[in-house]
Amino acid sequence: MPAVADLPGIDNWVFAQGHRGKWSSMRVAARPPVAALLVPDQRDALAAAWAHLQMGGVETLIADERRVDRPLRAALIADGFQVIDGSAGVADTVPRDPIAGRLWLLTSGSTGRPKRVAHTFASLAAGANAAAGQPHRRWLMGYAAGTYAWWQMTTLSLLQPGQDLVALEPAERAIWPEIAEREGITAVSGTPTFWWRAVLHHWERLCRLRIEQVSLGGEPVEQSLLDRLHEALPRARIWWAYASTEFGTSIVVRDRRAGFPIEWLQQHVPGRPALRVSQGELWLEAPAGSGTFQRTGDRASVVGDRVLLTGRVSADEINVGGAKIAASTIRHVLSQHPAVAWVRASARKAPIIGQAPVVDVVLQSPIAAGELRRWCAERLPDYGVPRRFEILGEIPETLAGKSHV
Amino acid sequence: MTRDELRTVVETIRAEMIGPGVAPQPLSDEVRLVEIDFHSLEFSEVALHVEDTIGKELNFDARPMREVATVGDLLDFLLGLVKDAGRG
Repeated sequence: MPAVADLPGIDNWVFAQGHRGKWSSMRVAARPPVAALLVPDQRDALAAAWAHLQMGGVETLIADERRVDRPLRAALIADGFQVIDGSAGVADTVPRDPIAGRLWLLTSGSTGRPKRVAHTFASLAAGANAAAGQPHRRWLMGYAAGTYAWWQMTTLSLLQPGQDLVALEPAERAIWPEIAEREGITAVSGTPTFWWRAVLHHWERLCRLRIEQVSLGGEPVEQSLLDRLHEALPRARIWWAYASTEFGTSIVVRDRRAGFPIEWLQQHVPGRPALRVSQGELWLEAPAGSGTFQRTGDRASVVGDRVLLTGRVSADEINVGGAKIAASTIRHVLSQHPAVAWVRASARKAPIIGQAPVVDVVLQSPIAAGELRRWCAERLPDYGVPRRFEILGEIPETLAGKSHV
Repeated sequence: MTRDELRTVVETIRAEMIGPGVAPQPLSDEVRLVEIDFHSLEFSEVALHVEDTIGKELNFDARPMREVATVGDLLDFLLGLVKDAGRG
């Protein structure tokens, strides 16, 4: 880890909430050695990351203040963090020595409630270090402050020369193509939900952008989205990443296809964790090279020559009168319909059968629910056919930019 | 919901089972449910439609359904549930 003054990205430009300057011009505010910085915007988040490096030896958690509720805030205080946010005052915290260089991330995992995962700048920077030799890019980033994907982009900008960063606030995600055009963006990284909204609502502007690099991550990626992005941006490289916040590791797929090649299950490649599928779940070798495999909680299905990642195991099973169908299976089937952009399949409590599969759908083009039902009836067992179809006008988006399929 | 409105729900679901664009055909009280392939999945689907219309959950299990053999029986059964839900 080079000294801060020697970071290769120190002269990269950073644009966030009114800040337009190099990393080196970011102001470092005084803060306690063990701090949870609950930030209102990207500028404060990036400044907090810069300060963590500048100060050295401190322990830091950075999160969008809206992700941290009262119970979590109380837990942080109880664990010795000085919580710094927009509210007045600092709560009673028993000071303790910092775990030098520790960076804490919040991840929703399988429960939906944020939990803390331990990292360091070095562990978060592995992806950035592997990205050496990239051409000069001006990146637009749509990830929530303090998340694993956010740190991937932040470390890239700090560690690789020529990687400027434009950080979007959550409220700006809806108009990001307009911002991208204005700022001369050449690379964009966001969740599939982020990209679908552009495809569905800003198609013409999206097609005009001079984007050379498209990156997706944080959610399952459907082939239909990859195809639409290639149609809009035929000259762009399109990559998607599967990453585990908990294990600090990721795989990157560069062939513009959903899932990853089945051959990867047998391969040991330096810099890429070994992969296994067991009982419909993806397992990762963590740490890489250790020979120890960890459950990811992510549903994995082998379909032809690909391993498809279709959702979370915990939210997947629908028990229809004793017959079980995976919500991810229903979602995958419907996602293949050319008129469908986004699907959420879930279980609804129902008389007699206990649970009935129901779906929320966002369309690319108009189509009757009856046609979607017929599509499902031709591809699923009768108990797997959704019994209610709700057509939504927009993909519902969380603060983290995901849509919790 | 009225008996006629409930009949419309049953006819609509029956039409959707046949295929998209199929217009709902009238179903008289005498039509036997086995003749139109109405089983537990379809009963539940009708119940979900009714729940969404009246804004209340319907609670029943399979036992009373054993007495339900015709469209008329089904409509009478659902009407009773709707009235019970309205009183709850």
